[in-house]
Amino acid sequence: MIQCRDIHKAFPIGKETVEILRGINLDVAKGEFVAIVGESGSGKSTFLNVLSGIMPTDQGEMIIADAHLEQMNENELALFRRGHLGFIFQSYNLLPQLSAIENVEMPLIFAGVPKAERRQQAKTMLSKVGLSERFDHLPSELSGGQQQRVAIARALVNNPQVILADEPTGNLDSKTSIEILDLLKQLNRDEGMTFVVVTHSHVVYEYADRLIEMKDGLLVKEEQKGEK
Amino acid sequence: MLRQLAWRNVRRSITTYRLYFLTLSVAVSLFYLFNSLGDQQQIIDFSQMQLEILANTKQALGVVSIIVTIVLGFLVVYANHFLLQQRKKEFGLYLTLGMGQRQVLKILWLETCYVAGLALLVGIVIGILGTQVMSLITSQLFGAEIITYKFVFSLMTIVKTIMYFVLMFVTVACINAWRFSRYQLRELLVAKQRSQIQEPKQIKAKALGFVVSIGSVAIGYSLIMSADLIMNIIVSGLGACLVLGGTVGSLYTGTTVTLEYFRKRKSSYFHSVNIVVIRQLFYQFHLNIATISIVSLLLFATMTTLALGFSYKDAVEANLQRIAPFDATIVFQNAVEYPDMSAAEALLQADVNLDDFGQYDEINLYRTRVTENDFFAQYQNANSTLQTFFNHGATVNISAVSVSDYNQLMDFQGKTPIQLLDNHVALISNVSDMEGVLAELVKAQTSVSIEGKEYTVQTYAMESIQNENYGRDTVIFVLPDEAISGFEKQQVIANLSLNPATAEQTVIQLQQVQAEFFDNPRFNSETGYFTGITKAEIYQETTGQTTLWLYVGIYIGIVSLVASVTVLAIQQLIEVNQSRERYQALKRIGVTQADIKKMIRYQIGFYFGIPLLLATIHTAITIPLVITNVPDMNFEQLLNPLVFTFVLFVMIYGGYSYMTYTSYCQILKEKNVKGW
Repeated sequence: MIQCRDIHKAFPIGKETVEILRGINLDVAKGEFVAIVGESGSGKSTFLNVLSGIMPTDQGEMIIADAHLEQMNENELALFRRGHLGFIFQSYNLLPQLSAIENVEMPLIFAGVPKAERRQQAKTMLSKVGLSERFDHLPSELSGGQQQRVAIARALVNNPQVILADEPTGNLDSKTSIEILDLLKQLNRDEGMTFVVVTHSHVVYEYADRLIEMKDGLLVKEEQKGEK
Repeated sequence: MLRQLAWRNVRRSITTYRLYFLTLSVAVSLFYLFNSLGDQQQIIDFSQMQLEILANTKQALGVVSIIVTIVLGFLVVYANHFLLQQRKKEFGLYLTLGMGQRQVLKILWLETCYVAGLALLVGIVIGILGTQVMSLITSQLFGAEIITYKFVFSLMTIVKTIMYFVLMFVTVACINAWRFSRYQLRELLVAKQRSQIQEPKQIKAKALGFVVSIGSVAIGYSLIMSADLIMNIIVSGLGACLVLGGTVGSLYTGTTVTLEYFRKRKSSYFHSVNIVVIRQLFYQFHLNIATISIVSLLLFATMTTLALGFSYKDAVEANLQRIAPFDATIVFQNAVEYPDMSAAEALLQADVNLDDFGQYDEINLYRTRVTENDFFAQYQNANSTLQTFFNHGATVNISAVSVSDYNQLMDFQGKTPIQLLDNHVALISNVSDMEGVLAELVKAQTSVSIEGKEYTVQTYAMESIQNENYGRDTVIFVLPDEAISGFEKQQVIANLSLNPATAEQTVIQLQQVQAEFFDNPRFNSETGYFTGITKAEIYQETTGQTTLWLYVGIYIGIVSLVASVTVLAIQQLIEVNQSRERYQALKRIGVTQADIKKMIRYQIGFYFGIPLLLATIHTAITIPLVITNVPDMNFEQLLNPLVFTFVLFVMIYGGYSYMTYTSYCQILKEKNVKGW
């Protein structure tokens, strides 16, 4: 599903240029749940940004579902993200002015799904994440865990092939974190979506099929795990 | 859905947007109000001359409106720049979720349309209502009467207002699109706050800079005071540059110096929440020094324009009593060719009987060989009027009148005649600027040789011997009757006192006669050349012109004031998001909500207060400077304009500051600052 070949990325910091990704090679199979771990500054968030096309690579090939992201322009990338990728952020990134169901509807709007159909899909997805009673609540009326559930529903609603999650439990307490990870794993299993999760949390290790450790811009360790 | 989203965005940001919206609405209403001035002739009885002035006013305000629109355009671009910065993360999210750049721009465009459309609607409605009040003010200022009351409404002005503002908003939308296209998605998503804490640097150098800046302001003002405001442009200009540079410099260096001062005074620095407020203000002033300088300058311009604009109008109109004391004046200009003919006789030959118009008095004006340059040689730098003569190298011969003619004219006006001693001369002038010099000449018992005979200056009087549009008679000699006999007669001036009951009708007749003097050749070639002007014409022309400039001043003044205060408000409200975490942290360590509100009040108070203080200080120095330099302006005229300016500032500046404070608190509430 995902193939990364010799990915390089550097940033100018002050007068110097610092290479954050120094030649990453990674293959992720369809339906796999991969956790990327590493210390702060190891380059894992940068890698996730490059992986999603949010940030262009300096060098290397980035192939997702047979599409070369490094060859796409901004608009093509936007279209690609709309059709193939779902995002889950640490700080949920919900639009505060929209209700839970409207937040979930957003990606479908951009995809041009008719109103009635998208409302139905959003409802289904919110029910799947356990928020059937909270359709019309604003984000400010929801707890942190509930907000992350809305964000998950939004990431999944257009049925993407790959879900990219950046510290999805970073803002949650341990009980809620486990609930969210249970949910992600269940969706991974039921929907067959590919998950790439960047995290600090040790709890995530237990849910991942494969653990990849990053250090100084390189993938240094890989561990295949059994299913939880 | 995009429309819905855009509408919700506007509603959600209503706390931030409301001041921006208010400013736009005020701007639109002012634009409509001043551009609809021409439509007021529907209800006000303007004279022909006033109509011409009204047309000029309309034209001038049209040009000013273009400038106002450009200024507002900059303001809107500035406000949008801040609003875009604030919403970078939101736009980044849209793009991440698969929204194309065009769709994001469409949302931005729709938001602009909603805010602009509403502001246009509200502004035009306020403008239309304001026009009704404006009609009363206009009639008052022009000295014209309202003939009939009806609702004044102008479709053309509405169309013009919409066109100007739509053009402005389209330009702003294009600039937004251009700005947005330059953002990288990653940059949008990780939009970071500006660093809040900066340590003051180069403290000693800045302390020195502060002293130099204050010195520069002082030197600048002393240069302006020593130079004549109007005449010595280079010295005045240099002074103004020093004042400007010094003020900006003192503002820039003053922030560091003040911070250091408070840091040294540990008892007050660490008292209550002072430390946070002082640091925050230091940061804000340091970061926005250019904006604050411009705002201070605009506030200063607004204050002086409003305070002095009304005073100047009063001064000019007060001076009318001196320069146009007669109901009408007709001047027979061919006295050289017909030295024995009176003005009445000459006019009779042109079938105009002066007796038909009311009472009149004639005064003969003679020319001496004494030039103003010679007479005032030792006073050539005394004031701007004399400097003009000397700088332009003019050699104007001083006119003379006989004491009996002069006393008869005084008697005609019910004024006290003068007793002129033998071999003495009296001086008269209607140029206010000259009074000091004439008094000096009397005091020094100056002697002057007129046509070979010596005369001592006995007295002076500030009087006019005819109606004039502005004071032109720098000096006229009043000489004994026998001294005049050999002089060349220049003009015969007939001053009229009209019957009050028929004065208005007579003025119209006189204006017709005057027009015929120019239109009908027989008056020119056969009977001589006449000029004349009525008091009513001078009053209408002068009040019309002063009103024109007053309107332009008020228009620019209020727009500048609103623009300035909006910039400050936006800067404060944008800052809320960055301060949220700070307030949350303070609450965690036990700072009460009341203390935080106090901090916000101090912060906003100082942020709005410092530019206002700077502007007030400069205005307080500038106004006396102008008043002492401009003839006929005095401090008594200043009271009402100052009260008006004060009330306007309290309403607009105070109102905006208070609204900024309430919006600030409201945003904190909306941002869910704990315990708010």
